[in-house]
Parts: sequence; C-alpha cells; structure tokens
Amino acid sequence: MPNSLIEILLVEDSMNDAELTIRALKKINLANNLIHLTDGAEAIDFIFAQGKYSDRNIDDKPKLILLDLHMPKVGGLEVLEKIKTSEQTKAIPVVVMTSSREQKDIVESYKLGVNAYVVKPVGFNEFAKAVADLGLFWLLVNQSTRS
Amino acid sequence: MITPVPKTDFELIFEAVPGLYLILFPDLTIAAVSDAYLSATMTQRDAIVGRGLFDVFPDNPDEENATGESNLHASLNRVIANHVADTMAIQKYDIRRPDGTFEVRYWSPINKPVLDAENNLRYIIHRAEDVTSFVLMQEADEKQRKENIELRARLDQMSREIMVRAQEIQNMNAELKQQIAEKTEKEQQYIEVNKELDSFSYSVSHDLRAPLRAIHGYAQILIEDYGNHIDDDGKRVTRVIMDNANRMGLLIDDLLAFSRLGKQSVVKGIFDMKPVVESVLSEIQGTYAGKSISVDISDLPRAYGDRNMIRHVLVNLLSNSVKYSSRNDKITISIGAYTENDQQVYYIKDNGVGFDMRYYDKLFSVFQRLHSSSEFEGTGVGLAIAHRIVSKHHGRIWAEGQVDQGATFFFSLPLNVTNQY
Repeated sequence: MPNSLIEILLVEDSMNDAELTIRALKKINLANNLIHLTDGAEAIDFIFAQGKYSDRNIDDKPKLILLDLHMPKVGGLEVLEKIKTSEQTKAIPVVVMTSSREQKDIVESYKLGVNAYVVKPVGFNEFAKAVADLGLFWLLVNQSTRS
Repeated sequence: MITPVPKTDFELIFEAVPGLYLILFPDLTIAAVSDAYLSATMTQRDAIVGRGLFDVFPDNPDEENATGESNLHASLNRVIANHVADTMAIQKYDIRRPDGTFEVRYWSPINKPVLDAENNLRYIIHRAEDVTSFVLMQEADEKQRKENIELRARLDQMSREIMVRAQEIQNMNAELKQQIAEKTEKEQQYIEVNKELDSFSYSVSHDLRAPLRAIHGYAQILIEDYGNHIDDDGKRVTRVIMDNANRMGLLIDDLLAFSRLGKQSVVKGIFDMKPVVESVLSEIQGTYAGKSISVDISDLPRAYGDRNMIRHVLVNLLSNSVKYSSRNDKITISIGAYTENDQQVYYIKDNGVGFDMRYYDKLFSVFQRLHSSSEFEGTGVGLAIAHRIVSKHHGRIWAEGQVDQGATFFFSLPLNVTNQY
C-alpha cells in the first residue's frame, strides 16, 4: 500500500515555519504523505520506531527528512548524527533547513553527512522555492536510487 | 774561690746592661745612664749627665696635650715622698732628635728609690721600656679595628640598601604579577565576552529571522488566499509589511556579517589588484544592466593583504560608486593608485550624488546613512565593513565629496617591504 508510505518527515519546532513549508510543498503536491514532528526526541523515536512509535515498522523509512537545527531538548545536529551513524537509516536523505548561517553549524552538518544545507530565507517566495526545489530533487533522487 | 767583681767595674757593667736605665739624684739631676738608654733617646752621656732630667727630656712642644713630663714628675715625686717604687702607665714621651725635631715614643717606665742604711733616698732608678712599636702596633690595630667597624658599617649600609632594592624589586615583581593577573583576567573576560557575542549573534541569526519569515510568509498568504477580500490599498499595505520584513532580514544579515568580521583573522598575501577590481566590476555591471558605465582603471600596483577581505572592500566601494551615480545617464568611475608614506593608496572616483562633508563623521559608522533608503537603498553597513577590513590591515580609509559633484573613496594598505613591483 504505497499511499501509507511516508514521503517526507518534517522536523520543525516552529509551527509557522512548518505551516509555510507544508504550504510550499502542497503547491507542488508533495505534502500528501508528510509527517510533521516538533522536536528532536520525537523525531528519533519515530525514525527508529521506538518509544511511542515502537509499533511502527523501522523499514518504513521516510524518503526525505527536512530537519530544523534549533529545537528544544534534542537539537537537529543530534538527530542528524543518530540517522547518519545507523546502518538502517543513513541512506535517508536529510536536508537541514535552518535560520542559522553560522559557519560552525554548516561545517558540523556536513561533517555528520547531511545531504543538503539550506538557510531559510526571510522572503516567502524564496523560501517556498527552496522548499519545492529540495523536495523535488531529493524525492526524485531517492526514487531513482530505489529503482 | 770566686774573685769578687772589682768596684770600679760596676760602672762598666751598669753602662752595659741591656735595659734602659737612668739614675737620678733626688734633685732629679741625671747621675748615670745606660748605653741602651742613650741610644734609645738619641743622646750622649756627656751631654746629659749632671743636667736636670726635664731640661734634657722636655715634652714635645708641638703636642698640646703632652702629659709625659708632668706624669713623670708626679711619679718621681711619689717615689721621693714614699720611698717606694712607682710603676707608671704607658706614657707618650716623644724624643727630641739632635736636629731639634721630635720622634714619637711610648714608654713603660718604673721609678724605684735607692735607699741607704738610714733609709735616706740616695738615688732614683728610672727604668724605661720602649713600647713604641707595641703601642704603634696597637694603634694600627685600633685603626684597623676602626676601619673594620667603618667597613662593617658600610657593609651594613650596603646590605641595607641591597635589602631595600630587593624589596623594591619584590614589590615591582608583585606589581608585575598583579598586572599579569589582571591582564589574564581581562583576557579571560574578553574571551567570555566573545563567547557571549558568539551566542548572541547565533540567536540573532536564528531567532530574529524566524518571526520575520512568519510575518512575510503570512502576509503573502493573505494576498494569495484572501486577495479578493482585500482592496488595492489593503494589498499595498500588506506589501509594505513584506518589504519591511525583507529589509529587516537584510539588516540582520549585514549586521551579522559585520560582527563576524571582527573575529575573522587577516591572512595576508601579495596579489594583483587589477583582476580583483575587474571581476568585482563585472559582477556589479550585471546588476545594473542597461546602464552605461564607463570605467577607467589606471595601473594598479599589487597589493599586500587578505585577498578575500580586500575584495569585499572593493565590492562595497565600487557598488556604492555605481549606486550613487545611478541617477546619471552615464556613470563614470575611475580607479587609480599612488604611494604615500609607506602606504599603497587605492582610490575610486565617481560622478554621482556625492555627499556633504559636514556629515563625514557618519560615513563609516554602522547603520549610519547620508541618504534615505527611498533615495538609494542600503542598510548602512557596507562602508563600516570596508572600514573594519582596512583597519584590520593597519591601513586607512577616507573619502572626499561634495553634493552633486561626485565622491572619491581612498583606502591604503601598508606596503610590504618584500613586495617587488
């Protein structure tokens, strides 16, 4: 049942940013199978099918993870590290989407194996375009590697 | 059987005794004298026997405090009166040389009465021992002792001074240590402040931009989804909101770039200026397509500095030149260089709106602008960044301008001594 497959996992603590992201993805029909989680701890539980997601199938992997860095409790970098150091999950494309232009965040993300790093622009049009490009690109890439 | 000494020989024997003896009559005239006495006092027997003792041996008239004569007199008087021997303390009794001058002498004398059977005083034996060398030696010792004391005192003085100096050095060391400690503390504080600044700019970067994105995004949604409920003025107002959110985003980005520059270290090298200028110009010309820009670049000497940072300076200065000349039909920019006081000066001259030198102070300050953003857009950070970069190179940046007469911006970089042009 391909429709139950999660296409995109959005990990974003800002409800506003999440709404804008989802809106941009909706416009290009990529938000049909999207899950939005608001903190890193829950994201880890979801990805590794543990805690309250323990009845989830770990092999039911999202095709793309959009990850915010600056989140309460467990930050984005920690989530990224967990994903990229586990054999089960390291193939999932992860795109860090953050407001931070800090060099150390960018360097650290790439060190941990991020697939793309996007600084969220203030302007909505640019933001929507960035989200749409990313979504399309990584979903297509992921599909082509699977087939 | 022992033959007694003939009486006549006693005179001979007396004169030969190895001691200094003088025999006096009770009236203190000299009765007899030993050879040793004569030689010790540099006198002749004929010249002194029969004469008064003090006539022959007067005090040294050059010595005001001489007591030899009076002490001897007192001792002899005691002998005459008491008929007992009188031992005198050591006396200074200078000897008159044949030439009349005196020679320092110290004596240890003893006066002993010679009594007859009826206990009458017949003679006085005056025996003197020359202790001059002993006394002089003692005096020398005394002098040495005094000198030693003096030396000791000086030594003490010196060690006190050394102690004082050592104390001073110790104090200075303590002061220095204190200063170092204060400096270390200041450095620590500096590091702390820098850390705080880091996390401050981090949160500025992240937390300030997120609400702006929401403002802009939701205003956009308003237009997109509810456009037919809002009239044209309502849409204009919404766009003003979006423009300002965008502008605030630019301000935050520029401010962050400016503060990041403070931490960045300068990596110096020698590089050709002309290609850098040309690449910057072609970038700028792209954004002003359709404008006629005439650029005159004279010979530009190679520069010694951080290429990326200097490029940033050129981007800011050249884009300013074009921006503030953009109202002209024809933009004319000339770029040149000259050497002055160990500094390589580069300048960029335009034919733009110029500026009023009265407000020169504000030119290179952060967020200070001489034109409103409705006239010319900008955040007022570009020149502040250029100023900071040039200062980091120990160079100077300045400008000359006049309203509507164009502006010239100069910046200098210290010449590299090894730089060969």
